[in-house]
Amino acid sequence: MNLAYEAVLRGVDRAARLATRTQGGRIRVYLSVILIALFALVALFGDLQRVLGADALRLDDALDVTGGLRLLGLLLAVAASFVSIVIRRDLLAIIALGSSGLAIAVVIALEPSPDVALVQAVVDVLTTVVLVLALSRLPRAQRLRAEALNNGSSVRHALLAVAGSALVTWICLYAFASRPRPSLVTPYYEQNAKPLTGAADIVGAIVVDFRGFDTLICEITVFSAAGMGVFTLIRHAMRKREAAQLPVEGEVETASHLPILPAHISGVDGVRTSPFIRALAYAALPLAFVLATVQIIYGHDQPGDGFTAGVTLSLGVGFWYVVFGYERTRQRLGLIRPALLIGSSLLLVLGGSTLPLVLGGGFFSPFDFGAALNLPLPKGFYLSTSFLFEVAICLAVLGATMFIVDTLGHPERDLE
Amino acid sequence: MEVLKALAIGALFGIGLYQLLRRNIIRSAIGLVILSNAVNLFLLSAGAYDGVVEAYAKATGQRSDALPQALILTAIVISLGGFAFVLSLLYVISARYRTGDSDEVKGLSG
Repeated sequence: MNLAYEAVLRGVDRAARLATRTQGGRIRVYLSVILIALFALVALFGDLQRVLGADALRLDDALDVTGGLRLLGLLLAVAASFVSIVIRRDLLAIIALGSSGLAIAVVIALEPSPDVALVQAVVDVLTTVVLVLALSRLPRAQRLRAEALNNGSSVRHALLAVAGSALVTWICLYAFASRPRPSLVTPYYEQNAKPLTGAADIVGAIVVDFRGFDTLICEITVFSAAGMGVFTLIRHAMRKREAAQLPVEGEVETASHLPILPAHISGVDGVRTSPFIRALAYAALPLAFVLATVQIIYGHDQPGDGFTAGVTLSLGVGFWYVVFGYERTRQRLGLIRPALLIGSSLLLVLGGSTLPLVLGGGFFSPFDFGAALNLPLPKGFYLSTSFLFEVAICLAVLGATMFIVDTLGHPERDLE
Repeated sequence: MEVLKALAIGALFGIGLYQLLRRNIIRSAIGLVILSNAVNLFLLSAGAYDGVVEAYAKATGQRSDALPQALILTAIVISLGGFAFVLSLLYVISARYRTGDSDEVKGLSG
């Protein structure tokens, strides 16, 4: 009995050693293994007959005007993404990525789904800005070294990418072959959007009213948490680094020579900005405010919602960071404090969704405060629960984006 | 059109995958964005039916499917938040491991 027990234990030990030895710790290898397993699964269970027999897959509608435009958008998106692989400089690759995202926004707009296209366009611009900010914090020497080491395994990765591409094309064809099919949920939303929520924009009605809790958790909570996460992580990492007193290898290019509040106005990286750009920045911020307000007020009948408004506003503020530099922007726009914005947004959601409960409705139910109080409001503007909700989303997004832009755009040496 | 769209989404996905597998971490971040764009485009195109006009209550004619649009709207927002967090992680990697090479990050190795 004892002997058997010992043998089993020894076997477990050996298995554990073997298992540990297979863990190389290389993230790319793990990714490859996951992908290969996925290919195997689809190859085993994919149903070839169903796709090849489908008559939904035709080519003739690519020839009319919208079809041609769609084709152009798709081509642009693929070509720009491909350029981001081939191009050597990281900055240009990021710009190629931005143009690819904008081409995808065009394709989405032709779907036709203007709401999603608007969000995709503003998010794409913001992504590009955040990427450029992050790029300026990764030392150039590190990136160049990684790029130089890349060449050895690129053929293997290209093969893997081609296989992945084939797999996804296959899944797409499989999904498209079953269209058009009857939808159970959409007709309900289409019929009830206007009577139940008062919003002519069905997509907006679904996001803010029908699936309001989801939006509350996803858009407001997750986005605020992401913003605060970025802030905490970078602050923490910086403090660790200062404490360790390690010499910095490959000095970060930005801001190491930037004096605090120089006599002339200098933008990011200490580059002097022209008066033209400065005037543009002065004009852009109020314009962004007007645009955001219009989007929030009339968003329930038109494309645009609180999220787009928040991103538009933060792009305006981000422009100031680029043009006037970190210190001066902090000085001028001292009122825009990220933590304050996020906090007031969460309070607004809580208050706005609890008020209908007090006034004789359900928690979070649509309620028109403007009509209840007999306020003289312009036509098309409803001071309702969903309006408060949109304002809260806008504030949360602005706060979180400010956290992100603020920490990523912060001059290195000022972090304590 | 469907076939061409499927090909384009596949190509975008492959390109994103290739970028994701590179050693330079900023290129991996670019790959992540391309991947999520491809997935969003796929979800949007896989809606129940094709529409001719946008999904507004006033519009007449075959409206486009509003449900996948609403879902993708949320997905785009979340991926932006997640992406910003990924970028700050990359920055922390670069500051702590002193490298821009994902192969030199070996905290997971046994």
